[in-house]
Amino acid sequence: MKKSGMAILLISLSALHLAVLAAGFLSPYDVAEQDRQFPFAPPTRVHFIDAEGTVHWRPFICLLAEDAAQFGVYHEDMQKCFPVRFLVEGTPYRLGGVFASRQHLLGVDPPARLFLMGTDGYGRDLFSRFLHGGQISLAAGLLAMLLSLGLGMLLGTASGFYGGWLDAAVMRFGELFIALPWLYLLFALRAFLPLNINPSQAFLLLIAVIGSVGWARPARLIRGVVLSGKERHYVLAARIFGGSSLYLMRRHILPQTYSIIVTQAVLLVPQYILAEVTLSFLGLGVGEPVPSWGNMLASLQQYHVMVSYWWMLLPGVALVPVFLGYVLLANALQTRAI
Amino acid sequence: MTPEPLMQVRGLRKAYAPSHWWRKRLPFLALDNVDLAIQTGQTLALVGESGCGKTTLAMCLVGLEQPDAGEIWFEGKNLLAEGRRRKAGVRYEIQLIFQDSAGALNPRMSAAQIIEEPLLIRQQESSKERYGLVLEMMAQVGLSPTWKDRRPHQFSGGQRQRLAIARALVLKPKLLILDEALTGLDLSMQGQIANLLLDLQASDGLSYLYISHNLELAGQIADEIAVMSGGRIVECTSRSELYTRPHHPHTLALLASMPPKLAYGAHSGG
Amino acid sequence: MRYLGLRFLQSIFVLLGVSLLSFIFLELAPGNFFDEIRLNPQISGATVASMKKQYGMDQPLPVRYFRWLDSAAKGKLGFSFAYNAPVAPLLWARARNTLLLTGSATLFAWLVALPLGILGAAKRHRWISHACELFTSALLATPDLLLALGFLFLAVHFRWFHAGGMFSRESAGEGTWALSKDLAAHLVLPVAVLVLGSLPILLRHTRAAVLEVLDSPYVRAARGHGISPWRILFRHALPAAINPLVSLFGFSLGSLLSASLLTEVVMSWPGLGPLLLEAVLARDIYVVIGAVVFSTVFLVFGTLLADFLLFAADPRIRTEGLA
Repeated sequence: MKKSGMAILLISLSALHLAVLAAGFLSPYDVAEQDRQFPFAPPTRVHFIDAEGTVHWRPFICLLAEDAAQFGVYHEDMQKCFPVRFLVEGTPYRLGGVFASRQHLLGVDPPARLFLMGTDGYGRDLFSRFLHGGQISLAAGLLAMLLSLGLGMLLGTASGFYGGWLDAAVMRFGELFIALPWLYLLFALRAFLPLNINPSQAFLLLIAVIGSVGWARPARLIRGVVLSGKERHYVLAARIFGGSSLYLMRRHILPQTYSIIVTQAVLLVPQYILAEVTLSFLGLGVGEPVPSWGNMLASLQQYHVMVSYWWMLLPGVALVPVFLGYVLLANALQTRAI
Repeated sequence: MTPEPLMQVRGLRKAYAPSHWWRKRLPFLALDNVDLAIQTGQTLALVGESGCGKTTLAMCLVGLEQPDAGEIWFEGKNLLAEGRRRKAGVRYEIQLIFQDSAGALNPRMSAAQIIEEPLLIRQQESSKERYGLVLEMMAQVGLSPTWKDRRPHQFSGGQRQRLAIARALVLKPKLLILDEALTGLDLSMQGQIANLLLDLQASDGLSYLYISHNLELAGQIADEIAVMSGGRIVECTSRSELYTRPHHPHTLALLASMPPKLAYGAHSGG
Repeated sequence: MRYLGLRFLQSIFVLLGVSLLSFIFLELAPGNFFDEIRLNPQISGATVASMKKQYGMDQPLPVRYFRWLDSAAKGKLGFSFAYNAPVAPLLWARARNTLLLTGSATLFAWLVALPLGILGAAKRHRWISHACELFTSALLATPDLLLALGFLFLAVHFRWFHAGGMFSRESAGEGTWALSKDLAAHLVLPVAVLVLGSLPILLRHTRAAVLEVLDSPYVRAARGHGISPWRILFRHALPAAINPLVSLFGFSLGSLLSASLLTEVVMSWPGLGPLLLEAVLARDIYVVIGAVVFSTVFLVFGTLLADFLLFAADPRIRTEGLA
C-alpha cells in the first residue's frame, strides 16, 4: 500500500475513533432519553426541498405523526416543518468524561425530533445510542487488546529469555488456550463470572475475560523473536560488557519485537470488538440501559422487530467500516513487514 | 626466566548433552583437556578447521559459556574459582570481536552510541567524559568523528570491524579475542585491520588471541600458533618453529593446503 | 511415526488439562444451578438440598472431578440439571445437527475457495485477482453476526428462504424425500452464512500458498523447459503447495463443532450453540464442561489429523523423521 493510502487509512480510522469519543457532542439526545410517543420510529427524513418545491440551504425535517389507522406506523406531516439547527444547547454531558458541556452539534426545536437512525422500542434515539455504544465497544476492544498484549509480552519475553522449565510451562499452558475454540473459551470464562452485574462491572469483567483469553498467540510470536534475538552477537557483546538481563531486554531484545507487537495489536482489536459485540448480543456482556453495539442488535432476535423495523440493523452495518479499516491496516502492516 | 603469562588455561573440558532425551546420542566433547597460555603483549593464534572447538573456547574465556572442568588463570587469579559458574562481564578486561561485523552491531544504534555502550553499562564516567572517550576511540581506530551519527549499515565491512574494535577497547581491556575477525573481509581490508591491530598492540600493550581456520592469516600477525583439532590442542609452538619443524599430521595437512609462496615467505620472515 | 505417537499423547494431556481447567473455573463460579432454582418460591429449601445431594453437588471439588472423569469414561459425561438427563447423549444429538451444518458449509467453502484461490494466484496480475482481494477484505470485515442477521433479514422480507429452524412444522411425519427437501431448504441460509464467513481466510491462504510455489525456482525452470502452464500447475505446483493447505484443512475439520455457535443461535438451528448458551445462562455446568471438552476434542484431533495427513503427503517429513 502506498504511503498516501496508508495515511488516508490512518486518518479515517482516527476520525472514526474521535467521532466516537466526541459522542456527547455529536449526538442530538441523551442515551437514556425516552420518547414514549415514538417507539420504533423510522429514521427521520432530512429535506432540502419543501412541499412547494422551494430549495432551502438549511436542511429541515417534518414532524412525525402516528397514523390514525395503523398502530406503530408513522407518516410525516409536511405542513409542520422545522429547520435543523447546528450547535444547539441540549442535555448536559461530559466530553471524554471530563469536560462538562451542553453544546450539541445538531438539534431541532421541540416538538420535532431528529432521529437520524430511528428509535428503538423505548423511543430512544438510535443515533445517539450508536455513538455512545461505540465508546463501549471500541474501548472494550482496545483495552482488551492492551491486556492481551501486555500479558503476551510479559510471558513471551520471560519464556524466550530464560528458557528452561519456565518456557516449557508457559508454552504448554498457552497451548491450552490456543487449543480451545475461541468463542467456547470466552463462554466458559464468562460463565465463571456472576451473571447479574451492573453494566460498569460487566464492562471491566468483559475486558478482563476477553483480554486474558487471547494472550497465547502473541506470547508465542514474541517468544520466537526473543529466542532468536537474544543470540544476536550485539546482545552477546553487551553481555560481555556486563549488561544485566533487564538491560539487555530493554535496550536490545524488546525493540526487535516492536513490529510484531504493532501487527498483533491491529489484528486483535477487531476480533475483540467482535467478542464484546457477540457477548453483549447474547446477553452475557454489557446490559441495559448502557448501550453497546452488541446489545443494540439484541432486539433483532425478535421476529417482529426483524420484519418491521429495518433500521435496527443499522448499528450492525456500521461495524463494517470499522472492521474494514482495521483489516486493511493489518494487511498493509503485514506486507510492509515482509 | 619467562614472565608469568597473562592468561593460562589448564585442562578445560566442555561437553554438550544430546538435545532430546529419546534420541540416543553420546555427549559431544567440544573441549577436551585444553591447555593454553598467552603472554602479555603477544599474539597467540588458534588455528583449526570448523567445528574443532575454537569458538567454544572463546565463549568460555569470555564467560558466555561455562566449562565443565578446568582452570582459567588471568593475571594470577582463577576466574572459575567460585564453582564453575562465572558471569560474563565480571572480567571486562577480556573482550571479544566477532566475525560478522554487521551482526555484532545493533542496527538501530549510531556509531557513537555503539562505542559508548560499554561505558554506559559501567556507569563510571560522566556524560561529557564518555563523549570525549568515544571520539578518542574513533580516532584511534581510524574512523572520522564526523561519522559518529551513522548507522552500521552505512559503513563498509572493514569500517564496521573498526567500530567493533573501538567498542571493545573503550574499557581498556588487556586481552582481545578475535574470533575469525578478519575472515569476512576482502584482502586489502584484512591487511589494514591487521595493521591497526598490530599498532594498537604496540601502543597499548594489548594481548590477542587470534582464532581462525586460516593458517596464512594467522601466520602474519601471531607470535605463537596453537593448532586445534577435535577439541584438543595438537600442537603449540612459536611461528617459526611451526613452519620449520611441524609435528602433528594435522599441522602438516594445514600447511600443505596453504599456497607455497607464503609458507616459504613466513619461514624467511621469522 | 514416533513423533505422531508423541503428538497423540500430547493431545490427551491437553484434553485433560482443558477439562480440569474448565471444571475448576466453573466450579468456582459464584452461583450455581441450585441457587437459581431456589429463587423460585414454590420449591422448598429442603427439596433443593436433597437435589443437591442427589446430584452429588455437596461433595468437595476433587471428588466431583474424578466422578466426572469416571462418568466420561462410561460415556455419560456428567449430568444435566436442566434436562434431567446424562450430558453425553444430549450433546451428541445436538452435535449431529451442528456437524450437518458445518460439514456442508466446510465442503462448499473448500469447493469454492480452492479453484478461486488457484485462479487468483495463477492470474495474479489480471483484474480477477484484485477483485478477489477486495472481496476478501470486505468479507473479512463483515462479522458473522452481521451476515447471519442480514441473511435472516432478507429471508424475512423477501420470503425466498426459511428464516431459521431446521424443519418446518408442516413437514412433520412426511416421507424421507419430503423431509430431506425441507432440511435442505432450511440449510441454505445458515450454510451461506458460514461459507461466506470462512471464505476470506481460505481464499487468502490458498492464494498465498499457490503464489509462493509459483514463484519458486523449480517452477520457473519447468516453464523454461517449455512445459505447458496447466501441466505445471497441476503436476508440479499444486502438490508442493499442499502443506499449508493441509494444516488449514485440519483446522477446518477441527473447528467443525465450534465455528457455528453464533449462527446457530441467531438462526435457531438446534445445534450445540444454543445448548451451550442455555447452559451458561442456567449454570448447568456439566453441560458447559461437556460441550467445551467435546469441541476441544474435535479441534485437537483435527490438528492431529492434519499432522498425520502432512506426514503421509510430504515425503520430506517422512525422511526427516528418520534422521
